[in-house]
Amino acid sequence: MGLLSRLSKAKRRQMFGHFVLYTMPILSYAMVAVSFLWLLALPHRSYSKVTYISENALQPGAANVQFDWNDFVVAEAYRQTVNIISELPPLERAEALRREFAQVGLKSATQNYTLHTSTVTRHGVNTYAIFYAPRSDGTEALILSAPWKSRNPKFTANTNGVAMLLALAKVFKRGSHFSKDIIFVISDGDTEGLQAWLKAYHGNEERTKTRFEETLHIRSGAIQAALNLDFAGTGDYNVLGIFFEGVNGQLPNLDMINTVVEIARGKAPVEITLHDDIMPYTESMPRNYTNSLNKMFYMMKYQAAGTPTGNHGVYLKYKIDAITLYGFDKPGWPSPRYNLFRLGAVVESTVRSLNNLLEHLHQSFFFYLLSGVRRYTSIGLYMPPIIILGVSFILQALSLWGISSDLPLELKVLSEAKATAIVLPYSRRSRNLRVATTVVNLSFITGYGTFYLLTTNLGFPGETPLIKLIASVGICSTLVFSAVSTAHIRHRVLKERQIKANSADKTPEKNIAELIPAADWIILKTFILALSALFVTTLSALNFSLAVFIGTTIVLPYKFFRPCSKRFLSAVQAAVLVMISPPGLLFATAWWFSKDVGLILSWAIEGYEVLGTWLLPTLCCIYWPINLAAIVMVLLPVS
Amino acid sequence: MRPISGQMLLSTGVLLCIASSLSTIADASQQALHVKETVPILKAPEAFHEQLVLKPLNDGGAYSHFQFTTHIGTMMDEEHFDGAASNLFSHYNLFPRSIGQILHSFEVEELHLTFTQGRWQYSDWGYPLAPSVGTGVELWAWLNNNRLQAEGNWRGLTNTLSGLFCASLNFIDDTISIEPKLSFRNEGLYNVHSSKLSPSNTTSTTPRKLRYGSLPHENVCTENLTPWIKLLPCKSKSGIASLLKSHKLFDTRFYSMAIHVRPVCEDDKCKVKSLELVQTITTVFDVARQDGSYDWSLSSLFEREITQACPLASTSNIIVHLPQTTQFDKQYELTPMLPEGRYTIGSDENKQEIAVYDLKKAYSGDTSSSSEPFKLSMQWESSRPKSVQPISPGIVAHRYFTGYGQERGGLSIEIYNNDSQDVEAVLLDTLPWYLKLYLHTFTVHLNDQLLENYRDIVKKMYYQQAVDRARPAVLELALNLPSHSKIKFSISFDKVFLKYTEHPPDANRGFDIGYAVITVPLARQKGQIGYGSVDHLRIYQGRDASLVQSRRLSTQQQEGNDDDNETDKVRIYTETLLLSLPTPDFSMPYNVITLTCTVIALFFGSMFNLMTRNFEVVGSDKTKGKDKEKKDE
Repeated sequence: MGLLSRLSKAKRRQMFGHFVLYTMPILSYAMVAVSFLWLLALPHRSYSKVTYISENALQPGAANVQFDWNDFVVAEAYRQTVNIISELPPLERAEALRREFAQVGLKSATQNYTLHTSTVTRHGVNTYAIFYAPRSDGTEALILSAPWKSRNPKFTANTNGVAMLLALAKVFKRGSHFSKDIIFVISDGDTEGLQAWLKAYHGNEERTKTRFEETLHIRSGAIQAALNLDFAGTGDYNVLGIFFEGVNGQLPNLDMINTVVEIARGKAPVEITLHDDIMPYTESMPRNYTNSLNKMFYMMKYQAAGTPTGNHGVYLKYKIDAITLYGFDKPGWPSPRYNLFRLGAVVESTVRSLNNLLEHLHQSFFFYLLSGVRRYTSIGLYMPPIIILGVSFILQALSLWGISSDLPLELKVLSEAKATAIVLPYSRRSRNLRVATTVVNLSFITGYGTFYLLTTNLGFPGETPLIKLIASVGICSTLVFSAVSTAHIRHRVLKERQIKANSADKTPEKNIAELIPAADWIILKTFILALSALFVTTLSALNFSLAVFIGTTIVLPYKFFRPCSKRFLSAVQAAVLVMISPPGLLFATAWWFSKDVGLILSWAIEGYEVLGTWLLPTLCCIYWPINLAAIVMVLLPVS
Repeated sequence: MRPISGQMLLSTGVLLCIASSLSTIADASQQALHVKETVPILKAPEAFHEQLVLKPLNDGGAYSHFQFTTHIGTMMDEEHFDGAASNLFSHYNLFPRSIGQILHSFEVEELHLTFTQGRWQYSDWGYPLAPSVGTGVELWAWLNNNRLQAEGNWRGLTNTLSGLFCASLNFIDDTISIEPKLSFRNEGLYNVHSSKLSPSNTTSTTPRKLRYGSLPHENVCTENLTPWIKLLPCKSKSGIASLLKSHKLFDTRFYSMAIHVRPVCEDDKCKVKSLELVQTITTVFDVARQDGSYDWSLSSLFEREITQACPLASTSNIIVHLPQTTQFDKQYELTPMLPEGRYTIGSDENKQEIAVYDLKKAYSGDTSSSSEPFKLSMQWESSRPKSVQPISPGIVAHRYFTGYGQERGGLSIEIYNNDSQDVEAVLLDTLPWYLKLYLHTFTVHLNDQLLENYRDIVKKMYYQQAVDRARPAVLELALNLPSHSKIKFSISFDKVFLKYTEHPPDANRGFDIGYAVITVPLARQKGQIGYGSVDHLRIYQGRDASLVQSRRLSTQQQEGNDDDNETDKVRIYTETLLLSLPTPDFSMPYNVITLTCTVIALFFGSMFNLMTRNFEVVGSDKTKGKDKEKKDE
């Protein structure tokens, strides 16, 4: 009786198990579909919300702007001065700028820095000046910065931006209504100049072999917010772009963007847009879904890359909210042109707003996606799709794990010419984890190895990142080949041994006891899927956009691919996986942007070495190993 | 003794006789009788001096220093002079009663209270005349500790002053009050003198306690100025104080006002001692702010005019420091320029030309001129100079936080010694308990080189460990600063996660950390305004010059300092800092609390009510009666 009931219980369990394990993959594919559709819905008008000023203290545009026509004339004069200064070599240029600030009546100084990465050596001089707010205690400060080099490749110098800084210094010196000091920084180089300055400001300057950062001579208080100006050349502009993505996709408080947008709409009308995108789409133009999708894709692209889109990006690490204002001229945009006069009003009004702050910016969102200058999707609304994607990985992994062993075994009994299956309680197939763990471990070691190779200067002649990459690809393919061939040989040996054993001994009891464990690829795929789930969900909390791009790239191949008995199909799958491996993606990016492969590679390496972006380590140490394991998986014997 | 002082003493003697006879009749208090039995009291007259020092600064600023000095004193042996706690305050003429009563009831011997708005830019402006320029409010006092009541008296003092000056002084509680061991020694000429003249001095046997506290984030405005003006004998009705217009005073780059009360000697032998109340206002006007012109006049600076000297004042002077013409590449014109009021102070190296305008003289007798306002202006021939040349004062100090993030941080103090000789200094740094300092991380850098052994620099070290929610950490170092050096002290700390109720309403702003104070004896230098001591002003008054001189000598002898150079103890204040501690999201718990409370109120409350209540069927009287009977049985 007991046995019977136990058997029926086991039968029921097995049926349930079957149901769960075989519906889970279907469910997981459905979830992938849901996740994709949800992601596409993010920029939709009815899903996103209109931005609003959350911090009431900001009062954008409430203060009277002091920047008047005389100041505009002053700014134009400074433009000439900066033009002359730009001819000078860096050291004298910085000194000349320092003297200009000193003449306004500000404390000013310069800072030298040198940086050696594995590929290049950079040297530069920053100029900075501090306006001490009258009667303030100097515990808080705002930064107005301008990089010497503009992001606009057509111009050599950020002439208007630097001139604006000098003119504003003069305007601020007149007033007595500032509660925060204002620091003016003109940084050299790309982002490393400002980074060196910020490090020194926070007392972390290094004097090592690879980095030298001069100590700052004058300081102010805790920096509350920063505004970075990028206005290349000496002409007028018709659009004002906002750049805000920082290192590793960190974002400034949404109120920073809202304030500028609010001021550019009301106080000093200027056409404003996100980034410098190609399509003529601004706030005043009709909105549609494609535009919103494009905008959001732009933002996610910048965020995923992890390299800041301007100097503002390096501030965020120090809990300083910052954005870059970028003036550019887009022919064909039906927006009125603006010059330094309008620009001065925008910047001054924004600084006055930030000066109103009683506390550090904290009211508004730090995690958001923008589909337009005035539309946002907050973290609560954009997180579900990526989590669903992660769960879909897990569901399939669990299903495979269960199928590989957890289902109770059946004993097929032939009685009265009718086959009935009797479920055996307490008996399962054993799992053979040896191949899977070895492959996963080896691929992770290989991944770290390639990362080490790419980021260290080995010192042999003609050493370029591209050669290193080729070497890494070589290492990886060696791993794949060796793993696959070993697995095949092992498989064949095992099979032969089994056949031999079967022919030698044909007792059924023994047969049951020596049940063949599940195929190696199933276990390996389980590992791959579980690791992918872990990877994507963890990354989504750190850098949502990168998680989305990686998740959507890998989800279908990793879920769908499996070894086929047809060699050709396996080879196709392996080819697809190679395409989405880091080198494959690198070549694809190079082709898409029609840039040199070595250039993109050294960009990624420099991003890691100079700014500490996670893109290279993530791709090398986590993404690539999983990808390698997947390639090995599709090439394993089917059995 | 100089003839002027002798003359004054003589005249005071006559006055004193009348005054003492009057006072004995007027207030026959027990204390007065008690003293009378032992020594003959001669009550010194009260006196009031008003002064304004103006100095054009290098960067286009105009420095103004108002100083109002009120004396109240007696003539008696030093044994019977016990400062504020004595019977001085039996009658008030010029001395403000509100201060007198505070001093008397809390047994305060010495009191220093400073309100400051803004930062003093040492490298632009040199050292200030005022002794304290630390941002916010600074209060320190020496208290008589006869009956071991110093703690209570300190609490009472802060609370009373808080009410008097409309400031949050009552927040100076035990968690931020400290007792410096090396800094903030007794001021006042009396103490130095008496200890020198008579070693067996009563004041040293009287146990005294020093209490020091500061509020770095206290805003100073008109509500603090009004009670301050009320302490003046002439208020702001006449005299120099009539220039005090809050509109202009608070539109400056720096504003500081203070009261200092201390016992002083009125003569060389210290026969006459008095209690001195010094009230100062220090401002730095940004003259060149609007049009870049360095020109100024009394009316352009203050938008008010002086029409007469304060009738109650003994002296009433306006002193202008004339700019060294080598310092500026242009000529200036000061109007009116009195040839007889032009003096040179200091020796040739430290020469400083000053112009003195005696308002008493200007408005004496002639009644017709009294209606005419006193005009003073300075005009420059050319426009502003091309660039500002920073002057380098002897010792400059800066302090800043290092590191980022909300878990840990570091503190660095940089001290620059630009002097050509070694300087002994004392550094005092007070840090609130929510910074967990790690003393083992204390490092010293000399000219950017890490010192393994810093015994040569740090002579003495006094460190008080902070106690959570009870007292701050105090770091006091006796230093020897080598000549032409930069010394950097750094120490690391952990940031404490506060209880959510301990955060201020503006939690995300952060916490203000007060300044560090560096006390240095400095040789007087050329081209600087002066040094942080109210004594400095006495130099301008001929009668006190010798006194200050002798006091200086005595201090030098005491410290075994044989240098011929005149030195002054200057306190240098570093910047205040802002510290951001880990801050919880305050709106979220609030939402949760609201939601939970609603749920509890609506559901749990009614459910609990239903469950605990005993329900009974309300029947007719009959059944009730039966029940009752049953119960009775």
